[in-house]
Amino acid sequence: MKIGIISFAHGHAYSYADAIKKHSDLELAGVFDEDAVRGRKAAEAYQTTFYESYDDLLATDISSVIVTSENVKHKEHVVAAADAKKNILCEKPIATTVEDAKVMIESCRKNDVFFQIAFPVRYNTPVKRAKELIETGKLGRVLAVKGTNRGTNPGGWFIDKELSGGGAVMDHTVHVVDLLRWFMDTEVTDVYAEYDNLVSGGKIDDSGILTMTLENGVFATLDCSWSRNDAYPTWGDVTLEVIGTEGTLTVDAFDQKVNVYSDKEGVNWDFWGDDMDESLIRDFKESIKEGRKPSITGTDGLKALEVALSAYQSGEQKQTVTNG
Amino acid sequence: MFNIAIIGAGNIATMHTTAYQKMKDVRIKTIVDVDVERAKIMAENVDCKATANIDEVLHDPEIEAVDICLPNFLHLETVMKAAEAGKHIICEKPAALTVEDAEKMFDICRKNNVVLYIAQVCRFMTAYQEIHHVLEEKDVGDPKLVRLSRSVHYPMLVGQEWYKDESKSGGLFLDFVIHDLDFIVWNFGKPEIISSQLISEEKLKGIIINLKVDGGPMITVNGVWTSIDQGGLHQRVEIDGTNGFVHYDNRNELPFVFKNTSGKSRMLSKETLCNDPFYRELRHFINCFRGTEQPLITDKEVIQTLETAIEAREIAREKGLNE
Ligand SMILES: NC(=O)c1ccc[n+]([C@@H]2O[C@H](COP(=O)([O-])OP(=O)(O)OC[C@H]3O[C@@H](n4cnc5c(N)ncnc54)[C@H](O)[C@@H]3O)[C@@H](O)[C@H]2O)c1
Repeated sequence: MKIGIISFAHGHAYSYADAIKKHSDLELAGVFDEDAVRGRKAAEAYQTTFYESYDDLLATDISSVIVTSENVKHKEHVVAAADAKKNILCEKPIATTVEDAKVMIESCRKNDVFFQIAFPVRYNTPVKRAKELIETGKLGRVLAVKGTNRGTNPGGWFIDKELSGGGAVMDHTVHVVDLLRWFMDTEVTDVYAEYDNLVSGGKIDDSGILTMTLENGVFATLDCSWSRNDAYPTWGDVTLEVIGTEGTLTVDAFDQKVNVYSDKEGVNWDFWGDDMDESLIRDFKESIKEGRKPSITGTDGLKALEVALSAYQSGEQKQTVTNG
Repeated sequence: MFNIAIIGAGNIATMHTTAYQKMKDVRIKTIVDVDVERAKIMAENVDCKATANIDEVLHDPEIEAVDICLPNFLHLETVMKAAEAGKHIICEKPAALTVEDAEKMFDICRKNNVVLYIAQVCRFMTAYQEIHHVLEEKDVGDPKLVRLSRSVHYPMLVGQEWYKDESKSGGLFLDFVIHDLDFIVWNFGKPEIISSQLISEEKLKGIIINLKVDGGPMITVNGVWTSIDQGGLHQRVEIDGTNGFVHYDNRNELPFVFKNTSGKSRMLSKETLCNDPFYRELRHFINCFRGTEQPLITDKEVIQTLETAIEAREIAREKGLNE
């Protein structure tokens, strides 16, 4: 199966490329990047062809494309790939506006192409176990969820609203919201959020707390801040505390590590756990080969995006807003 | 399709069958156990043949390899039989109860043109591989002081009385801390023993071994079998180097904790959470049989590890200090 990558703007492009290399039945057949220097470098590193335009890449015999461009460009790239009848894996968030997301979903539907959103946390083992546990009813009725998805300010285009659509709230709301929807097969109905630029300098939001009510009566909070500093031993976290009528569950998705205290490198948590990006690529491949529907759909991407946008609206208006 | 048979349908065999079932190119054809009921229960799950008679496997030309999951004292005779029948062999640790037996096993395999791999599972735990990588990269400089600790609830499932009999299991030294000794041989080379001591109470068995490696670190290995159920295996590695230290404790990490109103709680062990080490181990051995991978564990290392375990036991029995 031949795969192309459109843009190395998002760091995940590299981990997806690494994952492709691990599969003997996958070939990274070409890459495109608006930043030709970055694109050529990546093409060289992964021993593949660099294309000057995405149309040239899409005109080749690749069957699938991974879109890892700046958020605001997802729409242009996904629509072009759909028109070229390629299977598509698109980095989260799906887009920066509801309108763009809908256009993307519609164009994939019209062209009858496979369209998956990259929510890799679904492939984390503790997170998968949490879903099983909730579904089997061992927690009783779920009452509340407290989540965190904290990280490090990535800088670059991520802090340029014109390209990213927003800061921490845009970047980190969607993962945990996707998990809430996935765990309980429900939607977010109300959102109250506060966000600000508090810790990392610059202008864009780097701190945010969301309070959400779900259709099934559960309420949830989420800290989506870029609040981990340079001295922190890793990039960030995904944690969940789930309170049910019959029990409690805590998940610390990346607590799978060796502690290294090095004069050379400082304090580091060397991660040895789930390779989520590899699992995501494997699932993408197998779903296509077996003719299955994508396990994470464009609609999943859209629903998560809606909550992030509601959070911005709520933060501006300082009041609870109805989502969707 | 690579056909394999499992000999011994006890505790560890469950982990092995689960792993093989994930491999599309491997088929478990037969499961053997003297207790044929045990073999049947497992075989039902796998959908394969169950028997009490190992000859059915040895005479089956379709079966290319056997996976020996038997009590330790049966490893030698079973390896001999399988090798003479021309089968490749995966055998659980420890290889055997004496160095001579282990050498005999490798010799007979060589003579019969089959290969024998000893399942030292720590080599396939991603946490241990990460530590190995940290050492290779010299992130903490040169290792100087190493502490390895391991404890578990006394292995006393039904039918496991053989663990208590040292002439059958080799005791804590050969059965349990063999993992840590393998870690030492793997990362630092063959160690010398400085001292070795043993506590042997009815409900508590414990050992402390001090070792050193020429030009390498000083090492303490601590192994405990206790009657207290600690909720699974506890393993720790601490390495102090000239430029830092690395620390791993499988209990410090809690990626998943579940507590419910009936008072039960569950903390999934990281080793079984993801990157199942048994899968990685057995996948590696199968690939080695097929020639697509080179074995990570050498015969020499297996022998050196066993030698160290036996010597430590001897010293502990005599007076503790190696003079
Ligand atoms: N982490 C590890 O690497 C690890 C952990 C546990 C056990 N092990 C090793 O695995 C091996 C088996 O240990 P276990 O805990 O599964 O033991 P067990 O007692 O649970 O199982 C052994 C099985 O062998 C069967 N058996 C006994 N004699 C037999 C014979 N002559 N022919 C056929 N079957 C026979 C028994 O009926 C039993 O079902 C041992 O070598 C042990 O050291 C390794």
